[in-house]
Amino acid sequence: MPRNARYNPLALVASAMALPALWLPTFVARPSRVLPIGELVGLWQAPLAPAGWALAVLWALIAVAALLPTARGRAPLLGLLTAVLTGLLTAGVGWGSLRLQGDDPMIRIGLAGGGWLMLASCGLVWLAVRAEAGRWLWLPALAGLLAWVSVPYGGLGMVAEYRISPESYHDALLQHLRLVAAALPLTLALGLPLGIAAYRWQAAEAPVLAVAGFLQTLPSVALYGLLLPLLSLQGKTWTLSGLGAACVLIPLAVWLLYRFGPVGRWLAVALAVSGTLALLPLLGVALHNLLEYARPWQDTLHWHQPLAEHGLRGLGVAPAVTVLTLYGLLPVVVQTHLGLRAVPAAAREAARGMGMRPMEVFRLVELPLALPYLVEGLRGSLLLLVGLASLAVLVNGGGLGYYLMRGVEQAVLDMVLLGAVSVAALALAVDALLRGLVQWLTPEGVRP
Amino acid sequence: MIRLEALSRHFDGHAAVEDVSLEISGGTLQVLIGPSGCGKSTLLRLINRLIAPTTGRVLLDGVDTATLAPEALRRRIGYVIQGTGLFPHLTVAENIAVVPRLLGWPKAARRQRVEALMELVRLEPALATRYPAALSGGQQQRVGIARALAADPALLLMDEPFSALDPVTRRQLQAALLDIQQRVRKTIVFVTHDMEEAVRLGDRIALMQDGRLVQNGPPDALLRHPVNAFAAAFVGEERALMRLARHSVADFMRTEPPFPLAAPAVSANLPARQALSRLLDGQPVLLVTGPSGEAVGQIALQDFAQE
Repeated sequence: MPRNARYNPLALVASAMALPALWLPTFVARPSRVLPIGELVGLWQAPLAPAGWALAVLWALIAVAALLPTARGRAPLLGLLTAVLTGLLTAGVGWGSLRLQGDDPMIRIGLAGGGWLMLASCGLVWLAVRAEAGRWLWLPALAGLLAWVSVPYGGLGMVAEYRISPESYHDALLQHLRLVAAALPLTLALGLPLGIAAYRWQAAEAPVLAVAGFLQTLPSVALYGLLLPLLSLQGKTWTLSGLGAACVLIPLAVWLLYRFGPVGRWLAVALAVSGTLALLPLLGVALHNLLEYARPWQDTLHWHQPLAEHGLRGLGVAPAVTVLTLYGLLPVVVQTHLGLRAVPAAAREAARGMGMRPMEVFRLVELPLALPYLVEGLRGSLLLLVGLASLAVLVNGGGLGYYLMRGVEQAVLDMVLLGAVSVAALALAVDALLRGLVQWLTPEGVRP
Repeated sequence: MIRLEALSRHFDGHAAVEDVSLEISGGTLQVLIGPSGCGKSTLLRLINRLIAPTTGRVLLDGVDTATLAPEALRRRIGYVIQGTGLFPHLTVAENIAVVPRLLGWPKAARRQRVEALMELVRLEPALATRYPAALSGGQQQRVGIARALAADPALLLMDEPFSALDPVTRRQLQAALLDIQQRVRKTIVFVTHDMEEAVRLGDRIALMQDGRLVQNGPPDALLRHPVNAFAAAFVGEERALMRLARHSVADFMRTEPPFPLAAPAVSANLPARQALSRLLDGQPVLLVTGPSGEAVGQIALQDFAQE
């Protein structure tokens, strides 16, 4: 939005969106956990009517504030109104569901269409405030937080679902984070060099970008299916000592092959790639275990027993982390490549001409100028991983996907919702955090 | 002093530079000129080994540059390129201090050097903390020159440094370069495709064609006695006018009295072209005055025809 625009279009759209939300049913009260249908409750019905009036007035005020000239304090006013709205909605969801539930704990209260639309409109007003003047966002954030900590949410079906077993929710959440945290370093460790290689060597550019892109188009279920027999075989036949020997022999073979002309060079590249891919699942398992047990192996270390003893099997963490790592590659590779290409050719030429060594050119010129792109790649990759980790449950890898899958299987809507809302909240948090990081890391001289 | 000995550079069988031998004595501003693709930029980059020669050698103060590490060599040679190549993420001061930083100078010494250089290239001290994007094209190239001079190299390589600038800024920077050269006396190798720039700046001009050296000598020699048809065509029909670029009124005026005291006055160090322009405008004669305004001579159209 241009500075000093005559009105705030986002806030107007949000008010318009909220209008039907005032009449659509806000809550749904289902007689029990597994029944899909229930009684719809609108804002103008008995216990909610005062809130309905308050919301109608608030939205009208927001629409008026959106039309005010900037000089008349549009930004602080919008911030203030959004704060009241956020507080009201946050508290209203808790109180409303508690009131509707009454004293029958079997009744499950959920949000209905109007309720969701109202929350979405509220989100849009946040964006409107950010476009107006981001510094006023602390007001609604504070209001939301205050309402959140001071209101009980026990009436909400989603929360009731959580309370059935908080331990297993925490386990699932932690496992979700562990999967992402185990895959991310591997994605970066593979993606950054690949992106640099795609930039440095003409011959590598097309194949690297094509493969990273192709991995994204593969359905993850197909990839899981493909990996199942392979990882199962690897787990049964390979041992740690054998792998250790391979870690020494393969680099040696690569180094030797590389010296034998163009054919040897291609063979060396092929060997290096397949060697890395073969090592990937075990590294994934090790990283995951490091986070779960504070050591890279689950039980005692067995040098001569199959890797399956250490958790490398066709199902479980190994395929989950492997698939996540491969899926996360594309944003990292593409952004690294893009970032390095965005470095002005004249700056690179000057750096060389002034006597920088290749590593100095990289460290002092290319890296700082490409850094915002790299973090952008990290953000894209992390968002993908947070979402995709929900599918790890398909191969028994755990994570928040558990709630999605079980919820659908058992037709428990609140359970699906618990999983979905958690994943969405995680993704939003990651996104906001890394956007800030990009801002902060962009060198001052190249900021728009 | 630099000596290029039978330098050649081939790319895929095609000769970009072919058998060029050239000696540039210390403190000279040597211009390399020629049509695009004639190998002048390649020749420049052979000097600081951004490109390695196929055959031949480059001697810097008698030392074969092939025996030095390329990076160490380049840190001893200033390098200015077209479009400046300033680092957009570094401030003006940080840009200027890049080579001293690579050489490990202490911070205080770097800051002192940056201040001195900004004074030398006539940049306001307040610009030190600005980023290149906030500067005008002319200011940016002044920073480029200061950066190249940072470690006080004896040799400065300039690759069409002013060709991306508008004509007014270009003339200002040419004057600035001459002024800097007067004060610090470097050996400068300056690549350009602009004959007027070459005549204005060069102590010697080397004309190149298809990778070979056609003619090398002082500007007047090139302008008056081009060695072949190509050189004559390159110098162009206006070569007589171009010579004026190097001269001032003092070089053409008649100093015998009596002086035409009623005629309009011009300063003795006015560029000769401007005096000629005024004469062609219809002034029959101009009075030439010295530094304190006293009459020192006169100049008319026929004075340009003599010599």
